[in-house]
Amino acid sequence: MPLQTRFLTSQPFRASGWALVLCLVLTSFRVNAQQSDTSETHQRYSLNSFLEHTTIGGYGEIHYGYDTESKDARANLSRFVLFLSHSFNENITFKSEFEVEDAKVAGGEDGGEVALEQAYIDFRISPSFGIRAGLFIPAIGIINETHEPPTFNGVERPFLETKLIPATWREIGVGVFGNIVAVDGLSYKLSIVNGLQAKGFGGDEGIREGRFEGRNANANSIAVTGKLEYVNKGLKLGGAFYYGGTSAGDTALATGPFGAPVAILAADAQYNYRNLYFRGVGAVIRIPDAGKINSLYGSDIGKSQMGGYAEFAYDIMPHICSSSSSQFLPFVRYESFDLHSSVAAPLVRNDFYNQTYLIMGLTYKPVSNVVIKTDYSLERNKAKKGQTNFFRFGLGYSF
Amino acid sequence: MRFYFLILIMIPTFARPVVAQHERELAEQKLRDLYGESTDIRTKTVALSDSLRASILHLAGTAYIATKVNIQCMSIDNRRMYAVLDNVFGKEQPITYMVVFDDSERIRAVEILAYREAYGGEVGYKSFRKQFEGKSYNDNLRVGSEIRNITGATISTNAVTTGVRKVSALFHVVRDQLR
Repeated sequence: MPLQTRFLTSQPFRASGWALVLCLVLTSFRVNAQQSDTSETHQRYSLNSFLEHTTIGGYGEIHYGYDTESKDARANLSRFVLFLSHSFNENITFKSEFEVEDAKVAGGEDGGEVALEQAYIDFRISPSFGIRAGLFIPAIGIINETHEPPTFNGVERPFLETKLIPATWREIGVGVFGNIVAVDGLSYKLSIVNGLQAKGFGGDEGIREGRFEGRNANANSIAVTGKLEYVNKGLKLGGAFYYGGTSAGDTALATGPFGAPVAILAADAQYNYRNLYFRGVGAVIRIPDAGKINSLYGSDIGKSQMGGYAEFAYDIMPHICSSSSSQFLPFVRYESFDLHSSVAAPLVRNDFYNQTYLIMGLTYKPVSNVVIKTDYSLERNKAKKGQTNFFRFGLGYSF
Repeated sequence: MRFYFLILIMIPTFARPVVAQHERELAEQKLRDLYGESTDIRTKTVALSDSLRASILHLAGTAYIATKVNIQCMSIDNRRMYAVLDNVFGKEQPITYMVVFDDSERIRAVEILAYREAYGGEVGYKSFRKQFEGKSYNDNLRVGSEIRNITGATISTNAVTTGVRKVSALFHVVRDQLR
């Protein structure tokens, strides 16, 4: 039997049933449309229809890196992230960020990570006061909060905001945020989060491995962190602090929620004038009890760590094609930081942790949320050990 | 644990009434804040025919979907002023904003009446909104030309700028019906 005839004879009811459903659906849409058109204020109806809803977003990046010293090349799907958000009403919103790092996590193998990067609820009471609770990212530096690949130049995130400020740094806590109405452009964030764990500290990665990231966090130590931010047209300035205990219940190290504290001060600046973009971050970390931490856990964390970076980028696309909405940005970034800026005796400063990076590259954004990047970086340290140059290529997106 | 008390003390200082009123009441209250409590505001509903909406699309490069619009008409210092209330999508939530025009179609004010997202709220700052003042539908109201971007708030700056451009074109095409 020919296919067409078989369809008509064997499924007549089903076909007409679907037609009926389709007809009903279309009719109901039509009725809805008419209702809102004839309503007193169209704006209000259209607004209510999209206030409570769930949205999906995401970002990702793929990196290729070639180490010119060891002649080793690697390709990696570094990040695949999904955002899931839900607005319960105008004032209460849930947000989450679910991340797979390095594409695959397999038992018994190193690398790869599946993690919840954020999961919190915002209660926005007024523009000047809101409450955030859950697993969230303290506002320190630039990359920690804003790390979608199209937002920064260079294939890898700035090294300073990986090694010194351990982005993406998230902890469980509760905080307040809002605008300071008296000064236009000024906003604040202040929160209490669970503290770090000194046991994880080390010379090479600083405080990075002391983060709990929401995984059964030891909340015997707590931390207070906050940021003031000022925006005026193309200028954005931020100043952030963090102060928190690190004993995580280990009474051999210290007692009390702020025992064996870590103190951080960080400043950031971003400026955009016409086609020119600048950004810079500076940060200082102090760990007064570094000596005690090192003798207790056999580590080599510095007593103070500090550094900064500055980056300039210039969008040449308007000179190539003035009507284009794409961007083509050559950029250069210089980073310098020392994770052993000072140490507690008997530890001796390790010059390997005094590092500089000079990164030059190109960022091409065909649309604002898709980015193709390439860069060349000169990676140096004062000990002149394992110095190398890297060629990198990357692809990123966010939506 | 003293910090918890600190936060509890702060709540009444910062807290304000919940923003859950009808958007039009918000808009009228904002207009009274701007031009005085006794301002006489009359709402006029204007129908938008297909050809008017096509003109808006042509002028602004973005469509106005509704078939009618409410415009608040006022007389300030013997000058006719008009306000248009609208919503645009930010990343996930609508941004409720209002544009005030004078009788020569120049923008007098852009006000953000409700912003509902965690990031990008910088569009509410005066330094951003002031950039629109004195401009009209035939100025190039686009981020990167007449309007400067705010780092970290790109989606919201683009959304509000597109919205103001759309409403300016709308006001231009319905202007004759308001006389």
